[in-house]
Amino acid sequence: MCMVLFLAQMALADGGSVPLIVAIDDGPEAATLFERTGEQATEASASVLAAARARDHAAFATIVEHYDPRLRALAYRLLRDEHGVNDALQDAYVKAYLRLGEFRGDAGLGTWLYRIVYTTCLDHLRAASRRPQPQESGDEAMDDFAEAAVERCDLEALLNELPPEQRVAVILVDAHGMGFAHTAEVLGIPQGTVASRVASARRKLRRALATREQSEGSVTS
Amino acid sequence: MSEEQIPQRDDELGAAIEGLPVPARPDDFVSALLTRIVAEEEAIADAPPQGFPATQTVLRRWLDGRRVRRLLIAAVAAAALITVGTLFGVSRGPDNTLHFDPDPATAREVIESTLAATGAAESLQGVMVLGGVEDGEFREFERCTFVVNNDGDLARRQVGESSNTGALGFDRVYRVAEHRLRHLATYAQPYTVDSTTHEPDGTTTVDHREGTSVAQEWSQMAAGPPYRAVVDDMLPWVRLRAYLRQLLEGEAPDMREVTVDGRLAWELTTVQNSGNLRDDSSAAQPVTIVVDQETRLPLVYRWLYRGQESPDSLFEDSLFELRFGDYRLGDEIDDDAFKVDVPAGALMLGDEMDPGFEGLDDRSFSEIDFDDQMLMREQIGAVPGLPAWHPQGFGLADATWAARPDVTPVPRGTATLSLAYRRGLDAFYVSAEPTDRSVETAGSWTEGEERYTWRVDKSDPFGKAWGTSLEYRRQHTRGVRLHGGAFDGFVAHLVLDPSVLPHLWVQNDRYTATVSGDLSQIEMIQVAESLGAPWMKE
Repeated sequence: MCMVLFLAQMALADGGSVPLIVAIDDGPEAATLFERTGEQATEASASVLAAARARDHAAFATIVEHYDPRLRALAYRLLRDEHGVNDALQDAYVKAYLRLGEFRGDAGLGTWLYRIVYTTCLDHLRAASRRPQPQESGDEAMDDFAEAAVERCDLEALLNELPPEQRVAVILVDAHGMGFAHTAEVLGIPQGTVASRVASARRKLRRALATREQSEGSVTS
Repeated sequence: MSEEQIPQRDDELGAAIEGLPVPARPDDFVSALLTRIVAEEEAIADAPPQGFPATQTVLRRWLDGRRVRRLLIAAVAAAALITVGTLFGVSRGPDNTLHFDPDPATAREVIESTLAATGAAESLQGVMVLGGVEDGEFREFERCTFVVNNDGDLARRQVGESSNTGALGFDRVYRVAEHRLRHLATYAQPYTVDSTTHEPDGTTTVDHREGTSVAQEWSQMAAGPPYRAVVDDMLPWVRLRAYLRQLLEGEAPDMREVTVDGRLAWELTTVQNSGNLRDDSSAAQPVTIVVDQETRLPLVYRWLYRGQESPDSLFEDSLFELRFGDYRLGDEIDDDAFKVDVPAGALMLGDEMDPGFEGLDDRSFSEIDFDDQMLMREQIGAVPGLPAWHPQGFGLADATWAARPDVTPVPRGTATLSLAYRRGLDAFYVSAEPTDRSVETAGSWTEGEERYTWRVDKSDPFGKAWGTSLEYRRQHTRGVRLHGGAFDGFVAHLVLDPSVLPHLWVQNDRYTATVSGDLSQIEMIQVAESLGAPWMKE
């Protein structure tokens, strides 16, 4: 816990007093359904949430459609499988629907959904890892793939090569704009661990970006 | 920017990742989802009765199969723990001091001498370095000086390179004083956010222009954890002392002589093993503490934080390390040591996180007769369950209450109580709050032919306050049934994990209490067994 708070202090985010989260872009039509509540970015309005809790399918569908783009991006980066993403998200949303009555509002609804999607994706990853793998996708093949990715300095390939825990950390913090505190809440780990994973991921990915920029610069010149 | 500092967001990298393609959502995704939800609802409606009232099914699931066996193991372990603690408990002399043997033979003696070296001191100053170990190399996160006194005043200042460079550098000072707990932090270094990164909805509000200072003051802090109090988290040294005390019970750590920066020291290594909730050894949590031979003060505190939630988890572990040095023990501390100057024009942050704790009276605590139940009723509308027993030498130093606790709003009269007891630099804390059953949740879902159950229990107020990371810590919990007091017959949970302040929590149908800090396990239990019925109404 101490490490958690230390790093939170370093990030000027202790106590949640400095809002850092920018989560979801709202379209104009969503403005009446989703509203800013204090430090949270945009959350479902009380009426939508209450309706969903009361088993109103349409209200829940509204919530899903609102959060799905970011959650889908996260799930896809974790699972790297288009069909698997849909399966995982279906599972996650069903869980969320059935557990919505237990959502207390201590965290934002978005944070809560992120965590459900994340843990569901991990379940799918674990299940996939227990399934027999085709011969050609064994370790040797993966090593070759990794080497090729490094050689190409392709960001997506390198991102996929990151361990899932580093990948999800850098996606939530850098791509989705979450602070360490919220990311830690989503992942269920200390903020110090989030910081460490993000730092490790950035080191690896930066190499790809730098090379790409060099490449683009040489083309321009 | 130095490499040690980790900015909250790398916008360029984030934008690049955001730009990566993501397959579109299928058109029939939502309709398929709703179809599945309808099927789930029908399945739930058709499910046969469980044979237990709904409120008991969670308990029954939790108690079935392996958990029963684990609980039995835990009970045996707890009984053994109590036996060992009784046989080898620390007995202090009448003057409450221990004079350490110049040549200790055991790790236990080293620990006792370490606790004795500082326990009766009026003050302690030093330097603390926080970092992590990656690939065998120590990475410094933060370096700070700290000073504490036996009144509970505390100050910490970040020093060194990291306070002068980079977006995350800042000067930070805490002050807790005057019995009304306060937290004042001064960020003397800039935290710069490129204004172009602000979202249209304005939710990125951190915009500290370069060179500005940011200050924050939280009044109405609690007397101690688990509520927002400047105790443990601001000074891991406190937590280390409390954890060292736990090592006096149970299996003694291994000990060997080492050299740290040319100084002879003892290295104590132990493994904190969960023992009761996981069958595998991967829950074992190595801890290393290095103690200076001459001063008997800790130099290094290193622990492995198990990031994984299950044996086949994809999470990684994290090795954290605290280094201490430049100790000064017992010096008279000038009031300026705790003084915080807020630069003119500093940005004052709001106090929306004010925990809302109040002293029981505006008068000094020494004037309050805490045995006067009439006064307590007058002050807070109820009689708190003060402990009837505490170890010799401790005295009530701070008492606060909140009409609303940190997390769960409750009406006045069911308030939260937070007490601090001190004995020199030793301190322990007691809290009581209404039991919030809603924090314990469970459920199940079906996947194919398999049915999965899940359970998240955040009944521990330390977990409720600090979030899901404590779910892991709960695996380091030992259950002990209490005999006496308001929680007579209920199982108390001793949480002995090096990453959290050692504590005990127990709850009955109405109230949840914690005991934490510089107490042995036996003492925590004794304090808990002496708790009166909290908030006993007339």
